Amino acid sequence: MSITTENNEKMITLMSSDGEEFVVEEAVAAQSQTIKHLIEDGCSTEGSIPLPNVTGRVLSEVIQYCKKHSSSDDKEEKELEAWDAEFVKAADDHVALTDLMMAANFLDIKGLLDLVAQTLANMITGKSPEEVRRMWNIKNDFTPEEAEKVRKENQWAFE
Amino acid sequence: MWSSRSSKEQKREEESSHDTTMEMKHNKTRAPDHDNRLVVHQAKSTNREQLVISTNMAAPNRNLSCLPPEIVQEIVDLLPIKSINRFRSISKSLFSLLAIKFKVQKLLYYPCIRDFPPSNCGRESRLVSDYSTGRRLYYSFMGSCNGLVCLDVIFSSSKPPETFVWNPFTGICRKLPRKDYYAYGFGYDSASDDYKVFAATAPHPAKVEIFSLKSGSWKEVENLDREYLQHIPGLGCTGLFLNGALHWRPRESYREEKSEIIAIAFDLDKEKFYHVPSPPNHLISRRSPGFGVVGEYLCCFHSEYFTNIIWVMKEYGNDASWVPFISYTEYGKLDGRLTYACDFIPRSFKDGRYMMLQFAWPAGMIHVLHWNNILEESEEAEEYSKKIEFYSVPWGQALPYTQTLTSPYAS
Repeated sequence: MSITTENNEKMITLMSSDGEEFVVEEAVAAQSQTIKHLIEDGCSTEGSIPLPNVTGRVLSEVIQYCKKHSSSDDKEEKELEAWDAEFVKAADDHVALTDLMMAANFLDIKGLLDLVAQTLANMITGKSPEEVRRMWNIKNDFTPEEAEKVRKENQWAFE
Repeated sequence: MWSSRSSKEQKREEESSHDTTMEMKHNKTRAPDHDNRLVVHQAKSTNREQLVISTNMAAPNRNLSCLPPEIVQEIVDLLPIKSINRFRSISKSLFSLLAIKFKVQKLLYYPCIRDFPPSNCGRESRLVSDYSTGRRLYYSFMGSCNGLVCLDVIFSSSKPPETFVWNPFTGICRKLPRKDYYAYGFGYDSASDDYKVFAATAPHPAKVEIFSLKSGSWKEVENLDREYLQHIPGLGCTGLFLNGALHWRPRESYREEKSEIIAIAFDLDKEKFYHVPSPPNHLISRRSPGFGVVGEYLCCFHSEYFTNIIWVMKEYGNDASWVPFISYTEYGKLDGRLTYACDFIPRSFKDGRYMMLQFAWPAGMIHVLHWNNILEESEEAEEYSKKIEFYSVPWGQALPYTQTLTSPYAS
C-alpha cells in the first residue's frame, strides 16, 4: 500500500515471513536493491511487499540499519562506523549474525553484508577447525586418512 | 558492486515477465565494476551444488551451510591466509570451496625468494637464515602455472640441486624426485586435470620424462620425435606454458634454417612436439631472440636500432594472425636483447594490465609496460614511450604467478 506522509515521503509496507508488517519510507527500504527493483517493477502498488525469507525479528534489525544509513551523509562517517560497531555487537552471537547475513544477502544490501561478513570473519580468525565446526554445527565428513592428508599439507597453518 | 547471486537470480526471474526496456535498465544497474570481479563470481557459483548437497546431512540448525557458498566465500575472503588453510580441514564442502582460485597475479622475483621454502618445512628452514645473512641462493625457475611455481634449488655446492613445486601464496611446498635435465618446463594438462613437469634428460640418447603431480612419479615419453628435441636450447631455457603446451625458441642455427618457425611446442596431453609458425616477415623470427605470453597470446619481439616492436599471434597456430602490438623506444641501452615477456597484473585489478619485459642484457633489467585491451581495437602497433617501472633483479630471473590455493599435492 502506498501512503504519503505529511512531508511528502512515500511510505511502503514490508511484510515478514511471520506476518509482521513494517511501514517504512521508500528511501529507507530502497537501500535494499531487491526491494528497490520490486518497487521499480511496480510490485508495491498492490499492497505490501512480502519478504518470505526474512523473519520479523531480523527485518526490524535490517530496517534499523537502513534507517541509519539513509539518514546519514558522508561527513558523519566516523559516527556511522561507531554506530555500525554497536549494531553488530547488539546482534550478540554468530547465529543472529548468520540470520542477518542471510537477510542482507536476500535483500541485497551491500553495506550490511560487508559489515556482517567482516564481523563473522573476525570472530573465526583465531579459531581451530573444531571450534568453527561447533559454532556452525558443521559435520566433519573427512575420513581419518583424508583428514590426516589435509592436515599434513596444511601443517604450517596450525602452528 | 558486490551483490548476491541468489537475489539476483530471483530478480532475473521476476524481470523475465517484463518488457525488454526494463530488462535493459536492470542489466545496466547490475553491471559489475570490472571484469575480474565477475570471474570470481562465476567461480563461486560453480561450487554451489556441492555445498548444498552436504548441508542436507547436517542438523536443521543454523549453520554455515545454510548460507549460499558465495556468502561463505565473502567471509573467507576476509580471513588471513593462515586461517583459510586451517579451515580447509573443517569439512569436504568447505575444502572444495576454499580451493577456489584467487585471481591475483604477482611478480615473483629474486628478493621474494626469501619466502622459500616455508620456514617450517623441516630442514630447509635454515635457508631462510642463510638468506638473511646475505648468502646467495642458487636456483632456477622451471615455470609457473595456476599459482604453482616449479623451481630448482642448490642448497650447497657439494650437493646436487633439488626440485620443488611450490605455492608461494600458501607456502605449501613439495619436493620432487630430481632428474638431471637440460631442458624443462612446467604446465597444466586440462585433459587429465594434472600438473606436469617436463624434463629432457640425457642428450645422448635424448629422452623426455614427464612428472605428474597426481601420480607422483616420472614416466618416459614413448615414441619421442628426437628431431624436434635437438633444436631446443639447453639449460636456462624454460618452456613457456600456453594453450596446454610448452614452448621453446629454437636454437639460433635452427632459426636461420627454418625462419617460418617461431617456436617448438610440446603438447602435454598428447605428448607430441609440433611447430608454431612465425610472423610472415621471417626476418622477425630470425632476429628476435625471445618471446613470451601476453594475455592468452604468444608474442615475440623485433628490435631495430632503439625501437622494440612486440608482435602477438591473435589466433593460436595461425601465421596470418600475427600483428604488431606495441612499439616502444629505449635509447642507448638495448639492442635486441629481450629474452622473455609476460603479462601480469601487479597491484590491483583496477589498473589495467601490465606487461613485463625481461632482458638478458643488461642482466636483470625488467621493464614493465602498461597496456589496456588495445589488442581488440588496434591493427597498428601502439607507441609506448611510457615505461611504468624498472625492476632491477639480480640474476635476471623473474616470473609472474597467480595467487591461488592450488596445492602442489594435486589432491
